[in-house]
Amino acid sequence: MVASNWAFVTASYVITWVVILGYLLHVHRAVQQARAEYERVTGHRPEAGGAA
Amino acid sequence: MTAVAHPIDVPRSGRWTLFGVVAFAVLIFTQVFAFVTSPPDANMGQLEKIMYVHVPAAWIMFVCFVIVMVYSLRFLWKGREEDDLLAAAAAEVGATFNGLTLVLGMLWGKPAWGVWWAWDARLTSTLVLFLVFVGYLALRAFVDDPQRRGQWSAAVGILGAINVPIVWMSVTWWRTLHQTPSSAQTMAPAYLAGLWTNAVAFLLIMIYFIRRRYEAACLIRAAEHAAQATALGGLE
Repeated sequence: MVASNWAFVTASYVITWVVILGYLLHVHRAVQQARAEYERVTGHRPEAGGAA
Repeated sequence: MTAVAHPIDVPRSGRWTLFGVVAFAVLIFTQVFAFVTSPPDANMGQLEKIMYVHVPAAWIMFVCFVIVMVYSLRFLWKGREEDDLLAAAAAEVGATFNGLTLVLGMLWGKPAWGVWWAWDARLTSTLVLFLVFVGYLALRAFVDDPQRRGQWSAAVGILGAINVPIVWMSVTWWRTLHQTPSSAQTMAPAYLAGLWTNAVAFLLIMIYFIRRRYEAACLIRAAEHAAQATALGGLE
């Protein structure tokens, strides 16, 4: 007999998306803070220079 | 060994925002695709659907740690700070996917094996890998000097990445609880398309995360370089 494991399947996908979206938020904030710091120190926006 | 002294090349955001949107759209599509197309397994029922997140997360974790090793070796060889920053970005993303792999494995293990955790060769070696890269990130947080931080973390990153083939081969060398690696030889064709498409989606997400994390690290270091240059200019 095959047991219903939907609770474990659902939990797996919920955790996966929480981790991925949480990390996305973390990365987004890190980039925004870094850009602000760069702009504050150098006085110009990051896109103005550097390699693509 | 070359000293870390040259200014950092600041990468542009440019098309990477669009890349991220596409990567997330692909991930949503592949997860729906795998759910719709894969039939319940004869023994495990719907539990096989965990494979579409657990296995790609594990593969991506391996890819990240191989990137850490390659760029750590490159940093030790050439002394380019960008290589160290890229290795660190890959280590952080890899540790995230490593943690996710462990949690998803536990969610698989409880209904499949009857236990959340067992000191099985694959589980234990994956946990060791996770702890090594958590240590790598902690080390970077505690060392201020960029060159010393780069050298020490490169050494830890290379040693940690040596564990990757051990984790990969653990199910072959020590036949314990964890099943053999998922591949075309060990899986029915009905499950392969879902697995491979999700692996590609996870790969895109990984590339996006590493690139953005690297961008943030480069901006911070470039700002530090600029601040140092201003301070030195003020002293002259």
